[in-house]
Amino acid sequence: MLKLSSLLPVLSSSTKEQRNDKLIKYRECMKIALISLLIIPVIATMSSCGDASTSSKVINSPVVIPYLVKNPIEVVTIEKTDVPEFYNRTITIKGLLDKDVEQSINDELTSIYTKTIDGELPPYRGIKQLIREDAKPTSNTIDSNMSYNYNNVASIAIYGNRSYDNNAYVGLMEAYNVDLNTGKQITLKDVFADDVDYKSILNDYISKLLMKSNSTDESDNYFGVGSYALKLVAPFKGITDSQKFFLYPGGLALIIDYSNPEFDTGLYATTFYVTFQELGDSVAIAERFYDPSINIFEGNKSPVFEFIPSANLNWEQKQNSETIDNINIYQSISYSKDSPDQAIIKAESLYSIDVEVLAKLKDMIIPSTDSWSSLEQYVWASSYGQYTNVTRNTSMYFNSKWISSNENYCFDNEGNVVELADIFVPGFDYKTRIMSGLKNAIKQTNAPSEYNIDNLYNSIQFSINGMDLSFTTEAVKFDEASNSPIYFALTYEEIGCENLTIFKMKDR
Amino acid sequence: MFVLLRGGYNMKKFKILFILSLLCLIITLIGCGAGTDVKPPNMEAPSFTVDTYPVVDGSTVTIPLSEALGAKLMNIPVEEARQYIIHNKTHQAYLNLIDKKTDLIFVTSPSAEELQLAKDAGIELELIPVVSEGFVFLTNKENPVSDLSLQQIRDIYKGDITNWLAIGGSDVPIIAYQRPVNSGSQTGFLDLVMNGITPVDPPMEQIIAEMGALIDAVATYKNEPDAIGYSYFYFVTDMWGNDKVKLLSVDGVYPEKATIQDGTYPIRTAYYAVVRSDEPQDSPARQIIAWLLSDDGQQLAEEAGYVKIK
Repeated sequence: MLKLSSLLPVLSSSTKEQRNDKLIKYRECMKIALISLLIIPVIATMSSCGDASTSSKVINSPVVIPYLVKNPIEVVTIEKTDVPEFYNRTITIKGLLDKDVEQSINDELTSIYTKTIDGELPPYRGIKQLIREDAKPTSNTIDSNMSYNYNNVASIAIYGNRSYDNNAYVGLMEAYNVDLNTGKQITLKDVFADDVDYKSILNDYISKLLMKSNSTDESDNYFGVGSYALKLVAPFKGITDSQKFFLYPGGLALIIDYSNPEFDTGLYATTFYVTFQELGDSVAIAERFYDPSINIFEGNKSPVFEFIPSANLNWEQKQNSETIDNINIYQSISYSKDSPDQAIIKAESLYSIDVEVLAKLKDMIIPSTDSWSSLEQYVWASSYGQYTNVTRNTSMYFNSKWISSNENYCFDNEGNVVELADIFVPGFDYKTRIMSGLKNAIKQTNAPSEYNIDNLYNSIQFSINGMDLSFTTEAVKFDEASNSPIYFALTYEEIGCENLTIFKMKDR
Repeated sequence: MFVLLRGGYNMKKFKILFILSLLCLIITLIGCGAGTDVKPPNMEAPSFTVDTYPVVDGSTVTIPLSEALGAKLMNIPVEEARQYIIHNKTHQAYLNLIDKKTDLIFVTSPSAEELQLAKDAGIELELIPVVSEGFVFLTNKENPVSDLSLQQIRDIYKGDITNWLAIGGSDVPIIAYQRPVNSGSQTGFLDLVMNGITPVDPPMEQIIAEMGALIDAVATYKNEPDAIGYSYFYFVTDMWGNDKVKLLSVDGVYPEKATIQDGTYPIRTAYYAVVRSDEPQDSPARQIIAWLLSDDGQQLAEEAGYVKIK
């Protein structure tokens, strides 16, 4: 039997004092060794966590994202279209002050593109049954796009598609999410505030989707809800730390593929889109990597802001079709019940068919010349940041003529009506800018030759959107058969965010 | 390590301590292993390569079983075995077996249509139950009702019992969710529970489908105190969020592996290995089934999340 003393020559053949001294030292050593055994794995774990998380900035909830700050980088697109079956579009970035970081990001992107094109068959369920070793690819394409480019974070989604001579098809989806400050990849954990359990939040969300899509039932996709026709082959136990994802302006997309074997995805990836709105005030992505006092980009461009579109949550939708006096009438309305009360009241009031419009239509119809007439009316509310636009679009068709009109009303989150002048900082000559946009639109759309530009300007109504202000005029006669408003938009970048009041609610 | 060196101890002593520490670690690991009840295999597992493993098919729910089995018998990691195994869903798997495109399928019992197709093709199917399954009812964890009789469940879905008060719960209406017609769960519900009784119309909800059109769909189970829903045990036990729901006992028996396995839980079914009855006795398909029914095979099935058949 192995004796402990044989392992401890340090304790043998010495005086009592020496032995006591050695024993004390031995005990200290043992303590240190045991503590080391306990601590080393902890340190190792912590250091590995440190690798995954690039940010030391602690962000706690609640976090409000009133708007996003666009990264002023150039997205360089390289496209190879000469052989359509091997179409290749990849992007790199340009414009970071730190060229080493820029180079490392582009190197990493290139590496992902190469793996996506040239890599082995991805380990999808059943792939080696469906694509044998002798199968020849008949197409192999790659596409990529910058899905999110704000607040010093870039998210690039990469799509690979391969088909083979036995009609098998393989779809790949990869994502590269990077902190432009450091060039380090960011993880799902970095997207969320430090004091929230991001996995629980996302797992709860996915569970609801799975429930909705009757995912545990073996069936074809027609039981799915919208695009969420998810099928499980095993219980969903939750996502892992390495869950693939990419960001988009309104939220994040979880990539479900061979890395999530509990899902039946076939030979291609699918995505769960989760809006920031649904994730509530737990999302820290806009805060964590962005410091307005530090510029990491070349040039000293003014920052450009964008609003996050609101998700279609708590949705109210109605529609109606009827025929009145041989006029086919269709009306629909959709809005989020979370919209300000005044916006909902306005939308509901616009949903009613305007009797005057109907009477006017009846008067204009010449029964003998046209077999049918219609009145279509669409009302909807859309929210961006703290603003809600209520829009009514009306189209009348009669006697082979088409007349359409558009109405826009804008409300802030307290229900106050927002007027055009409210959008711009005092002293800014917005009329000249809008008039210029209107004239361009008239030129580009072959709009009528006879019009009064001042009348058109005075009829303008607007909507506050994610990236721009859109404008619509009263209906003008384009030709004998159609009357329609003129539509145009001015981006926040064109206007200059410093000239707008709508981004002044918080100094970022 | 640097702490030890800074403390003035020589490398020899450090090595001894390191060996001691390592020994402790090994003893600890061995100790962990000793606690595991590993039964000796009672049957040697047949061995295949990816080229010799038979073409297996089956339902969606038996995919993890098939993958675990393939990994074991091909002696490769499950991540690799997964790439060689395709299940084409229950109906197609039966068709493939009848058409002799596969020799072994893992499925639920055949429908009347599938039996007729086999008969028409002159094929006799041999069904061998390989794992057990329970059909379970679930409610919100806060619901005071924890047990229902099978008759009470039928009465709820017939529409004869409409309030939880009638079955020992609060005075609130019962919202009895169902699944879409022709889905696997709904078929199981009708066959295993309703036994020919037609259920009342389920709650419906309006869903905005693609193209923005409104459609009526069977309402999905909402984890509310007044709701009752159902599922197969396999999916519910390890599912994320199952701490927020509870499974109901039926006729006083709680659904768990032991009660489903021994048959005391009353709503029970199985997943089957199905072969053509003329499959040779020593064929790879039969070797696989035989091993799956061995203690080791059943252990593997349990580790893959299923309930042992025996």
